[in-house]
Amino acid sequence: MMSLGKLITLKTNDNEEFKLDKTVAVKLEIIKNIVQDVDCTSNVIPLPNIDGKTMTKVVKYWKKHSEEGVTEVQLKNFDQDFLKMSHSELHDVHLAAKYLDDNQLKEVIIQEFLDRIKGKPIEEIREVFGIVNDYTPEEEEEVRRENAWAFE
Amino acid sequence: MVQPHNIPVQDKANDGEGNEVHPAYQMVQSNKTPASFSEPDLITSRCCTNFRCEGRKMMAKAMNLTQLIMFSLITFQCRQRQKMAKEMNFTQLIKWYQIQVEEEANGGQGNEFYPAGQMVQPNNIPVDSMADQNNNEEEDYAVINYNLPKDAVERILAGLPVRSLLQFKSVCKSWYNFIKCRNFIKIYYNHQIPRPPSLI
Repeated sequence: MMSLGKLITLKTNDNEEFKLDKTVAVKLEIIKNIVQDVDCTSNVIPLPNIDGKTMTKVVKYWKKHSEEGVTEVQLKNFDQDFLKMSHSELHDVHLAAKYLDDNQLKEVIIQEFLDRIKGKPIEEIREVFGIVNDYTPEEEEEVRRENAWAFE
Repeated sequence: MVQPHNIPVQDKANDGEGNEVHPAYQMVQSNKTPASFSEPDLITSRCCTNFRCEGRKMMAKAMNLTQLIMFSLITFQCRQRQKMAKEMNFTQLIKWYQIQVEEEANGGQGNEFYPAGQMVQPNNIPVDSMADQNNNEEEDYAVINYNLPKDAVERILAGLPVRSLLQFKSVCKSWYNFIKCRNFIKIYYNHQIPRPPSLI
């Protein structure tokens, strides 16, 4: 069942292929299940919800975090670099991590979102999450007044 | 200050029964206003009204929700009660606080601030107001339109201090509803209870 070969190929929705060592790939519940369920003689697993650009990032993260002999400090530095991406890219990676059921990556991204919004003005929060302000100026003023002490 | 430790706050949270300073009967009971007061609303509105002193306001802002509740509890206006409250730990405080609320609710005998004569009796509170409120909240939850999945927004917001949460109510309408929604408040309480660092 699991001895079909050393590499597993993940194929994104824009037909980009990622070859992964099986020992890396099966760490993820979802990949493990697919490998077990599907008769994957070709060893190609389709990822219909993820594009190549996003998957490149995810795979980079997996590879680093499954490297042998990598130190805590190196991982920390890697994560810092890894998270230097635009808000929308971060959204995409989060969705991919959610789809792939990778809780560790999800946590890392949520923490990054937290860091990006802490202590920032409301306008920037909207930017980070791609939210359109649907308040009228009067309504917004009212909500701000309601919670005025938090803005002081 | 006594540090809150492993207390199931969500079980003990005040459901808008009122408090020593503002008993439930004095609150307007309609489907829209205090009946649907969520805990942070209740607490922050009390902070605004009770903490006239600038120093206290500053302190309140720096606290998380659990600390804020405790702080609010300590701001009893009567000096003797203040003294008693200060000697208690968080669990005792919550218990003490709840007993007082119950006494007021059951006896309706008033308290040192509001004699019984001033209290409106609870007969005229619509029985189904709680049910309505729950339905509304379900709807609120459903109509929220996220750019991120709901659970992610939940997790992100749950990691923020109260002050940021209150500010973020003005991000957009769905966040406003989300932040004051009872389900989220429960999640927030659970998240804010201190845990051993190894679990984070």
